[in-house]
Amino acid sequence: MIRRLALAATLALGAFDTAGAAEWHPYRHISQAPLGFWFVAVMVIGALLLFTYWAVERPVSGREASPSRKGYHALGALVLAMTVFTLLLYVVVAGRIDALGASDDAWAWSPGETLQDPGGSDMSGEPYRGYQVYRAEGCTYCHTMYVRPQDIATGWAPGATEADVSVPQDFANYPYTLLGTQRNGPDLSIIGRQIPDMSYQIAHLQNPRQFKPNSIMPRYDYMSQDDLQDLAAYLVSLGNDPRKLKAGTLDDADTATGSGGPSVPTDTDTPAAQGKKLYSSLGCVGCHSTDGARNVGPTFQGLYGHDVALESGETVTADDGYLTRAIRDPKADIVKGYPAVMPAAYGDMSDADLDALIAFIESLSDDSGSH
Amino acid sequence: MIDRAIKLWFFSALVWLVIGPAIGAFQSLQFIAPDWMNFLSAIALPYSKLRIVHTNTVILGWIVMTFISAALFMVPRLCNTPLRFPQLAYAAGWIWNAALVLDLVLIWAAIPDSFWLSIQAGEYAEAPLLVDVMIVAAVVCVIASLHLTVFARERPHLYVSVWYLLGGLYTTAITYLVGNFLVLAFSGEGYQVIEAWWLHNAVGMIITPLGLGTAYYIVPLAAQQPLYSHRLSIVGFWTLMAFYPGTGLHHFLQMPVPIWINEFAVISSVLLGIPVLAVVTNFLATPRGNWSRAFDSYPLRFAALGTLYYLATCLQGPFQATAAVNWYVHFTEWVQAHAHLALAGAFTCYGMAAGYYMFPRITGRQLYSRGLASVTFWCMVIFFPIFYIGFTWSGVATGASINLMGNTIYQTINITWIPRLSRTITGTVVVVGFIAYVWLLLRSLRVGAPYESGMNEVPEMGIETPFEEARA
Ligand code: HEC
Ligand code: HEC
Repeated sequence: MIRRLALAATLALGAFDTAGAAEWHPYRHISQAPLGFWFVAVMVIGALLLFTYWAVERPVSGREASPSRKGYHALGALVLAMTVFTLLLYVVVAGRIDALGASDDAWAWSPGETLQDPGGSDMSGEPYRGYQVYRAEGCTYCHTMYVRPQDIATGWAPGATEADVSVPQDFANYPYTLLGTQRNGPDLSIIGRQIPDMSYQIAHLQNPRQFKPNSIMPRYDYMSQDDLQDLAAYLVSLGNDPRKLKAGTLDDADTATGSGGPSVPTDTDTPAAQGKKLYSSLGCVGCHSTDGARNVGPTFQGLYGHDVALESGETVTADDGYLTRAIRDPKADIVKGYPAVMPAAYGDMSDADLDALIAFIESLSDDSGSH
Repeated sequence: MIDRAIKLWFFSALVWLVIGPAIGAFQSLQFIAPDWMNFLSAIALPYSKLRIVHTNTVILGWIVMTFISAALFMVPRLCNTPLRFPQLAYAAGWIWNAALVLDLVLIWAAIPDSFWLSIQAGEYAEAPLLVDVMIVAAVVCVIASLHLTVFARERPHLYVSVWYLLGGLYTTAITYLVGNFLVLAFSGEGYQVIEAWWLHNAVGMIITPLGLGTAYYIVPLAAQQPLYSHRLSIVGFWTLMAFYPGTGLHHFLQMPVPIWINEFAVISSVLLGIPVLAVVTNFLATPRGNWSRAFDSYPLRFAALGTLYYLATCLQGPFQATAAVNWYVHFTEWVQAHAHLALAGAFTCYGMAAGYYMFPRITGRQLYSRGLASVTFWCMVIFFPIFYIGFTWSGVATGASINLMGNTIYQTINITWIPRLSRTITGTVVVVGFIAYVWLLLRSLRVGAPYESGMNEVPEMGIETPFEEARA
């Protein structure tokens, strides 16, 4: 009902809008504003300035007279009209945006739909419900959900590209939005593409400082397994094309882990591809990037076969032996300029897993070529 | 009954004043020693929920409740007639308190998918729908009681405080309805646009008119001077009411909406300078010739201090709303610092001014200690600005690190802990000041000297009688 009214108002005022919906581009210049806007702006600003002028300059006799009874009513009516008008302005914009509809790759999960963990575990969760959990837990007070054009060039949105800049159509399927006004932590609009792995997301939620020693994010280890899985499913759904996720065909070209370095084989049987899965599921992704970016630990890109400077002053070549040692016994050699925070818990991983991981790291080096 | 209604709102506000800011200071530890705060996760109350608790208790609990008690006190006096239907206002007080408690419980419970019981998505509008209904009911009761009083007034002309307080209650109701109910009609980004309308009006159309109305009452009475200019008060009131509603989207500059609607919000924000200068001039010019009243009158001191903070906030606001500044400070703690300058600085000072003024008059007790009253005052004068500067510094440092040096947020944590530590320490001192204020009032209930009309709120300078003697 209210929605209908709002839409009707929108259409009525839309008469002022000379541009069609297709041209409703978010960042168009102010000179392209519709006629209605200028009308409102001139009216509002003009009314204010005129009123101020009148109130300051109007002659008053004797003791300062306050306005008459009629004067009050007139002013009250004027202000009410203004308030309704400005509200209407917002309503019009909101209505127009609603009417735009969703883009093809916009987030589109309805209640009850489940997502199978693309990270390879047998977990699944409901992204829609995860979104509700995200709201209820208040994550939005530290994380935002939109990328501005300027974020690309700065440190606000590492890994985001031009194509990730938010447009209104991205949010059309959300019942309500949590864009956020505060970034105490990173923007999450593309987190699912960067780390498409529910196991990692859950482990990070439960204890963020296990991966990021300086993180200020609270632990969410009190949440029920259901809530955690739904929330993780929601995080994984962010920045990924929902059609591909639903079909289970999220390929490497879609993930940052694949897009950064040389392409990784997609055949699930090769050791490198298995290693890539382990890289997410064991949580290496929380500290090591594959696109050259510095994180808590050094990047894996171009690591294999290259020289590594150690804290001890020595330089070693990153071959199979060194990598085995680095993973099995992280405290043995510490890379220069990095803290010794890599967990020692990987010591007892199976040889097969270790080989897969090393194959994966090797595949990220230029000169190793394809595997 | 009238007294009971006022007292209920007044003392409930004091209780929330002890809780709200203390939670704020406490949760700031999350930013410097997150591991100490792990125990909060054990009770399912991590930072993210505590923050909602903090904002809801300080805004709805302390600030709005104290101003409503002031409205119940002032409007009948200005109309020269007793409050009508005080039962309504009294019942509203209990509804309001119950709503807040329920709100806090539901925030903690974090039910993800219930229509009535889940928290809402809008910032400051988190209260679940069930709570919203209670709050609207309470506001309607208060409006009914006050407006009937105004109808029955014995003075034809309405003093400016009455416009602000009554008008403010109406805008409170309207804004609340938009922010909590109308927004439900929209989805997607449309939701965010309406939410933005609410977001700033929660401050501009709820707290500001109520706070300014209170100050308009206190300043001339405490300074024992007539109001400087009624004309200015007209300019200030009507331009505020006309101009505030359009500003909300300046919280989301560069959100993917048409740039011109943002531009409209920015222009409105800058134009807010008109009402602000009008009001501030009026307040600071009224005590001219009698500033020495400030030695004795704590209400005057706090009202003047609040006005200075109000001026600072309102100069900062338009400044940071312009795109040229906003790109640098957006998403950082600069903005939160600004919100504290307005709410914990300006409006808390006005609330305390009202408290110091009303307390003797509703309880019949003078405040028992001049020294403690001075402590609360100097705490706000000295430590609040340092607190604010530390907070802002954190925002500036974050902005430099991320915008200019290209660091990520995670890397920035390594530098911001220094200002954040300063903010925690000085913030704690400010909170202690608030608690001292509440203590002072509560203790005066028992040991304050009897108050008779015409006396000063605090025993005057020079006659420092120990309170035991004063009682005898
Ligand atoms: C106190 C602020 C705070 C709150 C509240 C918070 N986070 Fe974070 N979050 C951070 C910070 C800081 C980081 C960056 C360091 C890190 O990765 O832990 C982060 C990182 C993340 C990441 C990225 C992890 C990675 O490896 O890149 C995800 C995903 C995330 N948070 C999700 C959430 C969710 C979901 C919630 C709510 C349940 C939440 N956060 C609540 C501060 C917060
Ligand atoms: C808590 C963060 C963290 C996690 C999780 C983590 N690492 Fe590390 N890792 C580091 C840090 C820090 C260094 C550099 C200091 C050192 O050598 O210990 C490092 C170093 C390395 C190195 C040596 C890199 C070089 O440039 O010489 C390898 C190889 C490595 N890690 C592999 C892994 C693998 C494989 C996993 C997952 C099974 C993993 N790490 C998980 C933090 C982490």
